[in-house]
Amino acid sequence: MVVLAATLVGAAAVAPIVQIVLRAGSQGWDRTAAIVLRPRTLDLAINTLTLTATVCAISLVLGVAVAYASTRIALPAPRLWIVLACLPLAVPSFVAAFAWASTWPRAVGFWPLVVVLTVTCVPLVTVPTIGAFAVADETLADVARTLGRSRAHAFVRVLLPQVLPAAGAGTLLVALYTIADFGSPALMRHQTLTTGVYALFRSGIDRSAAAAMSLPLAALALSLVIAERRLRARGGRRPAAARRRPPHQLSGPGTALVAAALSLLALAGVGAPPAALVRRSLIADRYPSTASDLAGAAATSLALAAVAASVTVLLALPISHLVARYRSRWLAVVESATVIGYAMPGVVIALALVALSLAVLPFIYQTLTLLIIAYVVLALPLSVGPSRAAFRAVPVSMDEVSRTLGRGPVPTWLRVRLRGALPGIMAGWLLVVADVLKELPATLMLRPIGVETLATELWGKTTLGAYGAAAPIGILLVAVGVVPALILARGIRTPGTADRSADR
Amino acid sequence: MSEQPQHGSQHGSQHGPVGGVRIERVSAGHRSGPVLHELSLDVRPGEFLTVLGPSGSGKTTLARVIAGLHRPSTGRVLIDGRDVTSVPPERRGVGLVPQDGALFPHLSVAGNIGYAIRGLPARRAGADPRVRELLDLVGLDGFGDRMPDQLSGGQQQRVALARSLAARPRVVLLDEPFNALDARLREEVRGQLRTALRAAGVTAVLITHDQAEALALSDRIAVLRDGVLMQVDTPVALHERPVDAWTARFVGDAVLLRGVRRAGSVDDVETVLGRITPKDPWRSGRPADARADARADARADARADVIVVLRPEQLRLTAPCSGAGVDGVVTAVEYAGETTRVTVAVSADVAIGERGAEPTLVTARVPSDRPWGVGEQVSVEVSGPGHVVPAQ
Repeated sequence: MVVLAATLVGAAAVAPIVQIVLRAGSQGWDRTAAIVLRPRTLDLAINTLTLTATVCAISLVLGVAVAYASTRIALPAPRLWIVLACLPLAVPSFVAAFAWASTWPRAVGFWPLVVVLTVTCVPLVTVPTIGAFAVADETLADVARTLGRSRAHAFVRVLLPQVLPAAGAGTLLVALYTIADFGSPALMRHQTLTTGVYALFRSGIDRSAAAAMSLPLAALALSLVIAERRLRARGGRRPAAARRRPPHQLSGPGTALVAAALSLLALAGVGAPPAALVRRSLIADRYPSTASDLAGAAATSLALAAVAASVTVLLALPISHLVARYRSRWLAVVESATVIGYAMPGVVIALALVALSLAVLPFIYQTLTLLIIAYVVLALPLSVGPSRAAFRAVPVSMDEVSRTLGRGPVPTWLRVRLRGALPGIMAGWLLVVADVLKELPATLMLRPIGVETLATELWGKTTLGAYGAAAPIGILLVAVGVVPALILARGIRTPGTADRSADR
Repeated sequence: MSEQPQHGSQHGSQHGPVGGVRIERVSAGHRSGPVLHELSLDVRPGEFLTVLGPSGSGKTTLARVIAGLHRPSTGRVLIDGRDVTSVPPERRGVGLVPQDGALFPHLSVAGNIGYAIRGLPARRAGADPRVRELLDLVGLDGFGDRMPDQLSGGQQQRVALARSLAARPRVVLLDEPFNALDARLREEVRGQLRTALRAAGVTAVLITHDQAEALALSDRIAVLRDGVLMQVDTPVALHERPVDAWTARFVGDAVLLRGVRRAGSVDDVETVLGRITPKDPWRSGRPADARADARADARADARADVIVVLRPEQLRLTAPCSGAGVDGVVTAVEYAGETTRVTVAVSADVAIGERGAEPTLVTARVPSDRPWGVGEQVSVEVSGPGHVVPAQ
């Protein structure tokens, strides 16, 4: 029963992708190939790939440097730097892009977009790399030093290889984020595959063309997610006993320099965008945001996010319960299926769901139900991951004790396993809420007429040029994003801090 | 393994002890292969029985079979005469105290104990008389409101025991409950657990790999090796008369000597330490037909290889060439406070036809009243009879 439920959820998560392939093929594969290979598509693909490669390269270097500095160099208030390293995740890239564009409206294009995306994406590399530094075996570097190697040589040849799988996996997440991003390239006037698909969809003339153009995007996302999983699995092989040294003590000016560099990066990531938004919101506009506009959009956003997150968590339960408890090839397939929807850009999922709903359930097109389905498909792994970890943290012996104490399987599951996993499940719920609140492209494409969320409200105001009216919405979105960033920062294990999983 | 008829235990409740467990030809295993092989065992009502075995011997699987957490592939499990083989764990009346205690972290101590009591909300468990009685039983009066992570390891184990007793089980299974505790605490907690179990009057089955623990706590011990019961006996009998060399070595310090019974000598066994008198009439490995067989073998002038089990306390070390013992050289000395373990290399004796073979190493435990030096010449003398087991 549970396996069947899990399988159905997994199948539902891949259904949109299957649909989009069918849709693209519905007018003949020759035509699809012609669209995919026409110069316009190739230009957009090259734009997307160069943007992704540039952001990834800079994020990798910066992320490893920040992770090293915040864990392996003795700094005052060590925990603070970890939190600062995570906080840029609170700022959705399109909000950061909007903050930039509202401050320097003429300075848009490729490089500004690279800056915005890098600053918001670096934590995706920093966070796993901090974790890898926490378990890296430093005695190996010591041995290299005693064998006559310099500190730099020991770092590059001995320590770095131990954290590279984690940093690499993080970089692939940056790539996934970058190819899927719609709002910031649109605001920074840099055309990518996502903006291209959106434009074709909006024009409404030929949606099969949009489906065809989204195929390379989907293929790219799929290969990235496969590569990420492979690399993460390699990072899983840890030294049997990690021996650590206390962080390096730099000279006074050295410490100050490192602290200043870290602060600057954090300031660029989390300080500058809200500051720019506050400044901009003080300047009057032709289309001011009224308090009731804001409250309405916020209420809609929160309600949608809460419903979508609750549905997501419920649907994720059978999968996360099974994956935590049993090992099987089939379950691994089902779990991977949930990741595919997450990996897909919002425009692709939205396009697929439009096609799917029109073909199968025409009456849900243009309803909130379809929008919530899109959110669930896009956010399922955000709930499966924490729920699975939480279920796994409840020892099997507790189930067994409960059974011997006279409770049947169902009461045992409810009162011991689910109850024990509840904090982790709630953390997953919050992650989904935060993700849904800042979702832009799928919401733009699927919302029923008249429904506005914070993200679409911000988008609508910026397309009208009403930057002053949009700024307060951006501030609200940043404030909402702080929650998951702090959850993430709390969960990070660092060298020198005890395992926090025992904390109540 | 012959079982003696059941009898009442000396520490039952006023209604008489309950919780007799009968395991009949049970086989069980995992995907990786079989673990228990046609195992049969009777646990008497009110008894404290220990299943003792090295890791991988199947003792945890046996406990899980009794609790109903593992379904045997063949055989039956009976509790108080009722076949419970297909009864789920929640209806078996078997309590479980797992290795780590497995206290529910979201419930208070009282909430944990009250978990087993139907219709009792966790927040009111602290006021429940049964919960208070159990807290008192394990010596944790006043700890009801604590959370599990505010308890020491020993306290957690006592709460786990109280919780297992809350459902009024017939049998309590203790799965290596002292593993996570350090040596000193372990001794203290196991005394407390024993007292509480005795007061509750339930049957207890302890799973452990620690022979000292088994010898100290049990009414009887079942020795398990590779899924097969080697011997079920009282601690004294097990220590004094192990069935074979492996059990002898596993249950305690043992000196194992190869021995030969020669034609003409019906009883005594020739060993490298001289002639040793067996504790029991000599057995050729077939328990029933001991002496007659031996005489028959002796007449046929057959050599019968056996193993003589001595305990290290039975070896005395004296000055060399004193006549009484066999000469040897000290090869290792381990000081252990009041006693010292002295390992002596003794040359193989003509009597067992091993001239020129490697010297035999025997370890004596002697009072630490004088220092011993490696290389010192000594004479080894055996006091008392030896226990003879078949050579494989």
